[in-house]
Amino acid sequence: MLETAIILSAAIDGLFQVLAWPAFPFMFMGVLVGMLLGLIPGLGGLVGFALLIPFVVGLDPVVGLALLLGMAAVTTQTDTIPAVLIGVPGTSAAMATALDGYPMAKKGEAGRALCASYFASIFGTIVAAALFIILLPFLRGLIFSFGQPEFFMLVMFGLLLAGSLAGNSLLRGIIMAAVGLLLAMVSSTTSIGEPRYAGDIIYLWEGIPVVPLVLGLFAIPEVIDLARRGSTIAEVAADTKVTGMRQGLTDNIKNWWLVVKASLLGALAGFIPGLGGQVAEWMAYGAAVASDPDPSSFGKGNVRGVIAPEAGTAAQKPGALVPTLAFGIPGNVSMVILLAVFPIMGLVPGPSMLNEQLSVTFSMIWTMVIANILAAILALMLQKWLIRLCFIRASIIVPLILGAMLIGATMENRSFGDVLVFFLAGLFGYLFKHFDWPRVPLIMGMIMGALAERYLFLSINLHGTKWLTDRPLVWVIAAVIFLSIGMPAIMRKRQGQRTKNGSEA
Amino acid sequence: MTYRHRIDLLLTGFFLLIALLAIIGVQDLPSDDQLFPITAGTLLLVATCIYAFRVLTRRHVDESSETPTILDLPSHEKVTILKMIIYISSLVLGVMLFGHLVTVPLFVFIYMLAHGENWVIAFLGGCVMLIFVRGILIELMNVAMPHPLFGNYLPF
Repeated sequence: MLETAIILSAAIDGLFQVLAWPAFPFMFMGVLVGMLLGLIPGLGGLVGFALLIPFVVGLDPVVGLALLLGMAAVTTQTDTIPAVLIGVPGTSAAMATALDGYPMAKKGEAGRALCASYFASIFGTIVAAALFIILLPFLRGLIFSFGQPEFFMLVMFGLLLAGSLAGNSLLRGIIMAAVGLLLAMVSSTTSIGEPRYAGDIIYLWEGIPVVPLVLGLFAIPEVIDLARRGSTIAEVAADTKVTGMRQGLTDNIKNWWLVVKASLLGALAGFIPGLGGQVAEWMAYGAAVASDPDPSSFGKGNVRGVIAPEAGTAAQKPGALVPTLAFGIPGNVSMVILLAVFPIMGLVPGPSMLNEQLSVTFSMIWTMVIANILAAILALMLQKWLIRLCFIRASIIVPLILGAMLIGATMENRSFGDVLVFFLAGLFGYLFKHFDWPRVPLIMGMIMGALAERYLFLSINLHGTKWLTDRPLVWVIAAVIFLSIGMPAIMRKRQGQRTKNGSEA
Repeated sequence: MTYRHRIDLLLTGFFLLIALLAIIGVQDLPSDDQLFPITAGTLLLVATCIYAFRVLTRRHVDESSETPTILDLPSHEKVTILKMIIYISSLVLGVMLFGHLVTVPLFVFIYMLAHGENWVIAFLGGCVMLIFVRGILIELMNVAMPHPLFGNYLPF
């Protein structure tokens, strides 16, 4: 009873904090930036973080988070507009939406498709937020029963999942995760205070900064590719007829079970480190196809093919907040940046976010819900004008974005070392992107390396070797690691063997 | 051997070198500070060796191993990529030498002009960045920008 009262009180506090001055206007500003970035193909939440990080320096945590999450929550809502109207997804998370949304637009149902996607995004976020509230008592119980050994195993679990799920090759994922772990080891925080791997370079004594590294690895390749593509998008004829808005809402209500199912799948994809919006949307799309009496109608303009991926992608974001806040394990790349910004705002991920800072945690969830509602209203009102932004030439966007990103990259330490890290990470990022070396495990390793080392150090010093033998939860997590990493490989091998036997017979 | 395999081998060699240096680099530290880097270094060493073996024996590492890469793009696109890298390098160098306030607006202006934009649009783009850096970040939000190398010799 007391637990419920604490959660309810924090939820109400969080809501008031978001609606109060100056959090609400900052969130509104974040929503506008997110909507613009979602619209422009090739850009997305990461670029948004680069643009907005300079503004959060010195802000109250709730206000800063309202700005950042307001932006991050809505990039996947407006990315539907180009996906539906011109068949070009605004971000990679709208690819599945384009499959059915664009054929709907060609049939003159653009308004219905867009409205269905906006409402699906709102409902998806609400379902994920409700799931968070339902899981919260369990999460609080779980996190307070964890000691250092369990946290160490959990971090390793997150890292192995990120390594095995991102990209096409398990080996490359593991290599990149190990490189990330080693990058995290660069610091002067050794037991004797002597720098490790940093030598005499004072800049590296505090470790390699995360913000310029992530922006370089992920955003520079996107900008280079945007410049390479040039103005291809302007050559596509836009069908901007918007009719049947109410039908979109009715579609969501009629398919409420699909919305719930897709949202739960999206939230699940958010919980698992390494899976992003793209996986969430394809999981949801797959569920829609599998549960439809006429699967052949997908790809030809089935509204369920728009509703499911949009609900899944929207739910993935609040879902990704759970491991990020509770365990310090980022659910996706955007959450990596958010974790890097936490110290600037005086926040520490972990048990405190579910205890003393619970109202801040709720303010983050509320921000995502309210931002989605705001973005839907704005998109409905401004749709005809918003679509024109998709046609801005790359020669205008690229220099503005590059300049703003460079400024954002230097905000963590205000050092020119950041500029160099940003540049080198960009070069490697481009190489990694185009030769299929997954970048997510590298960044996850980088974030989790320091955590893992600290937990391992404390586990050994506090419990000796007993941390491995006397703690059942450690064994449970180890079993889960084995099942999630080893079982798919064993099953694939068995299936291959069966197929071989079958063909021989 | 395809371009992809060559780049894969190059990266694998680079990571192998990192693994070896990582293991050697902590030998003088106490065992507590060695444990994790050596574990991660060994993991990297083993994984890179297995991966290099698979690439060298031409086993299909995954389904994307035969797909085209940026090196297979038409030459004009490769030139665009190279130009972009040069642009970014100049931006980075300019920021280090002259600071954000001078370099970023100037970069926006030059880039837009070089890519065929009207000079009015290019000028407006430069002004937007100048207002962003000077007006919003420095004046309004009091954000301290890093001090450039030639900072003492500039009149602002």
